Amino acid sequence: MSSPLRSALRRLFGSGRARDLDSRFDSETAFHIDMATERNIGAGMTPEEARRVAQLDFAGHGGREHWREQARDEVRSRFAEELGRDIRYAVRGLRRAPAFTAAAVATLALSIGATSSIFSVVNAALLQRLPYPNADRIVAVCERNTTQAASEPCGVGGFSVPNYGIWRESATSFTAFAAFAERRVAVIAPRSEPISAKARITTANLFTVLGARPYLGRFFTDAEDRPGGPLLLVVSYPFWQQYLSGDPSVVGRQVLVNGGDYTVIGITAPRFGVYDPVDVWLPIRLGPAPQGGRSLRAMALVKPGVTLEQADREMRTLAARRAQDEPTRNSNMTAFVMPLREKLVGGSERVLWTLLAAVGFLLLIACANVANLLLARAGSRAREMAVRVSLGASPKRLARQLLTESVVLSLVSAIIGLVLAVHGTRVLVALVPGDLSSQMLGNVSVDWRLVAFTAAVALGSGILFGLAPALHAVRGHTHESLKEGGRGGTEHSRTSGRMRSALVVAEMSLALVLLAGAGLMVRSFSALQHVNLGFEPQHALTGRVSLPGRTYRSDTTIAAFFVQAESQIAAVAGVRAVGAISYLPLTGQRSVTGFDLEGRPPYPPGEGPGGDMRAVTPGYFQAMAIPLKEGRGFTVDDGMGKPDVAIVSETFAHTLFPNESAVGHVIVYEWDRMTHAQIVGVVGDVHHDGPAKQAYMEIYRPHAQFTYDGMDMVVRVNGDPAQYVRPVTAAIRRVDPAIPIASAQPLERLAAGAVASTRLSASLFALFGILGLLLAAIGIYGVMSYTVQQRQHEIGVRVALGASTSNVIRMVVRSGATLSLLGIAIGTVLAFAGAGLMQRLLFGIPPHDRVTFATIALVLAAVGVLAAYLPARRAARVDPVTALRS
Amino acid sequence: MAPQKPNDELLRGMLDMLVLKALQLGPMHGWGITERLEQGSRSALKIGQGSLYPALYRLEAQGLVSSSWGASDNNRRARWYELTSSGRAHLAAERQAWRRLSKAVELILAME
Repeated sequence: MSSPLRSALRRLFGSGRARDLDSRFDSETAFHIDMATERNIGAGMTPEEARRVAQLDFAGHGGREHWREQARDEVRSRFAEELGRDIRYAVRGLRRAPAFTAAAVATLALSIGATSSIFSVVNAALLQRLPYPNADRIVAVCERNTTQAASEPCGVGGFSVPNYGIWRESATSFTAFAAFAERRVAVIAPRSEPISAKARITTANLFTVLGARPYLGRFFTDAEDRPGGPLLLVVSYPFWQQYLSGDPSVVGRQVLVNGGDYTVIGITAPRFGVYDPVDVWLPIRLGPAPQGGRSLRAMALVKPGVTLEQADREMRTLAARRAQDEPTRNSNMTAFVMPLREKLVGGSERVLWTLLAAVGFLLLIACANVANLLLARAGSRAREMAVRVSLGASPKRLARQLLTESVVLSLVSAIIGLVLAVHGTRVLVALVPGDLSSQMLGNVSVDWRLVAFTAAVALGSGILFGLAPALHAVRGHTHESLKEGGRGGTEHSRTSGRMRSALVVAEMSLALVLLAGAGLMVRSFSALQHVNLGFEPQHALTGRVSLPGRTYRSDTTIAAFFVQAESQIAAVAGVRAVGAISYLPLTGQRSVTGFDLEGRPPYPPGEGPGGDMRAVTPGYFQAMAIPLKEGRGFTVDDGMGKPDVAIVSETFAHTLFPNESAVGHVIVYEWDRMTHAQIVGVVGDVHHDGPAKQAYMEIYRPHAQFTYDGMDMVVRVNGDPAQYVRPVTAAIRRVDPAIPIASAQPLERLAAGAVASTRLSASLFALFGILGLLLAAIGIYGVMSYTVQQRQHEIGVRVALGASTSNVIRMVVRSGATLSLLGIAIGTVLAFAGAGLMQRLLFGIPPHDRVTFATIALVLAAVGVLAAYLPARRAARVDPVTALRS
Repeated sequence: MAPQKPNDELLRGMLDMLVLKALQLGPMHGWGITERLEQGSRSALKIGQGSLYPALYRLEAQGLVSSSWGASDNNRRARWYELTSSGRAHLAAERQAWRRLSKAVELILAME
């Protein structure tokens, strides 16, 4: 051990010094006894007697050892002993004031619990490492059309297949550059029903990029991932557990995937997919010069030593070169990289940070409140402290005792708060919108960082609010406190009064900030709820049906399947309408396509407005209750070989045909000049990307003319849609027993999901706001009660001199209201300054919404006055005689 | 350790104050302090001589006194104690507090 450390430890515990200390004691007391003996001899005793008396004088009958022990204890265990004594004293003191203790502990435990649960969610979403080694170097590689606003920074799909083939060879920034497509496949394991699985059809190096290790078996290799390679399947751990009964012997066996025999070769690690859930992986088997459209997603592992900026720059350069080499497909396109974490949790980041800030405010209010409680308590104990000081306790020791008391208080609260946090976190995760929560469920846990955070919060607040009363003790206004009768008005109580008033003002202003945030969020949420989505979410069931390409090879067979399925479903009792669409609204899917209008000059490549194209069956608009505004809907006659037709949304019609009817005009696709689809109808706008987003220019095509093998079914029913899952599944089975239906759920749930994150932040904000308001009210009430008690004498004099009850009430309420108003004024300034930060979370109201701010200020003022009124009324009832005598 | 009784605290506080006072007159060793206290009280106060040493060690740990080896009058090795500046300040505060307390106690005892 180094010597400075040893001497520091010695100073704390004195352990190493015991022997030194004993020899010092022996030596100096020997001198003492010798001197006493000499004096006794001088007084006429015999030497033997003189020594005996000296020893007796020194040690009594206990012997020198007793005092040696005592002396040693004084030095050695001073620190530990005083700490122990302080803690015992603190616990005893807290037990003697149960009301105070309960109030303080409840306040702190609640706010520590709230802070910690929010923290653990933030921790899971933002701070925790992704379950991939080298997570910092994994990027999503994206392509984007520069002429269109980026609604999604790195979209679902949209990476060019040929570009991937070229860039995989030429990009030098990456260790591995993987690409994949996502779709649903039907998996049939031996002796099981068909299961609709989320499949990633991927290059083999995706596993290298993510640094995955198999739980069982292996992943496929580059050699296997080529045209004509074997049919292999990797299964996720959860899928294996749920559908393959976690049986290890599955590895090496075959299952049916979309009608083909695939060999299961591996199972992924349990936590592999928590942020990005996928059920199965299949080899994509691209050729050396792959062909196709923009249907891929790409991910890459950046080489060590290459920065993300360098990788990003390289991708942009490569994209620019492609635009020159092959302008028809690549002009106006750019490529860029984006850290994987940002892609996975980017959207919720702002919400979480805002909530963390809100809960931080709540914690501050709670601390201010407890500080207030402690100050009041210090006031009532001033005499006790004064007595202890005059009995020889040093002010420093008293201060330390008070500090110990608040630390004990906050540690107890932290333990209770931690228990609350564990439960609160679970509730919170349940409230979190589906996407995010499924990612986090396995992931939100109490870890050492949460414990450290809670402990830090507790200790910090303990020291923070313990400091105020402790400072008072150190300043040692002992004589005043001893003199101070019930009358008050001394320097001590005046400073303490000022401090408490300042705390109340701070609390009020923080509460206003919280409430303003809550008000803005709640109003945004209600605005979102009142947005007409453009369809009727109630009484409708949805589910996705994907047909395997192996058995459904032609557009005709695919179209025929959906016609039959719809007629089977329509026959189910209680079904009012049935239809299907390539991608439902609110699922985040979109396929933007460039087009020209017949009779108008074509747009330069890539500069057209772009429309979102969806294929629908004739029953779709009725099943969704989307109103037809003009022209006609699709019928069974709009089939293959018949004239191509389209229906457009109102936004489409108004944007491109402001002065005439859209019906009768002809759309020509940029990428398929053969198709000339005539607009036959206009339907109402639908908020496909959620209520907060603008409706888009939509082009609907009949499914029979523009076939998708995967469609979202919509079934409008009488009564509860959840009741129809079984009969609808059965109806589809009657057409083809091998076809599963995926994610069957009421349409309403989809709609609720679209506002879930706003709902979550609005309700949490409201909760924090109300808690903050409550705490601030308690703070004002406490201070006014204390003031009234301190001024009892003065009030008695006033009453005796003829002040009326209402005079007294007005006087007290006015001083309370002054504090509230000051707090409200400061809070309004703070909230106004900070509101801009919330802009992006808000919908339908400006961040400086006057109505919200005015309402909040009024509510807070009313609460402030009420909290002051109660003690005021008590003061007014004071009997002047009693008051004057006390 | 047993909880401290209040009069223990009182006695300790008093002893500490007296020791500090004795040292205010100048640096001294343990025996000399005993003699000073006896003389100062005109032998009315006989403190337990053993309890002096725990008190000295305590005061030293609190930083109110400091100590070092030196020679006594008869040239023997003795431990010398000396007031520190914070010890001086502490003594002044203690003295004031004691005056107040004794005055208060005196008033109470003088009640008719």
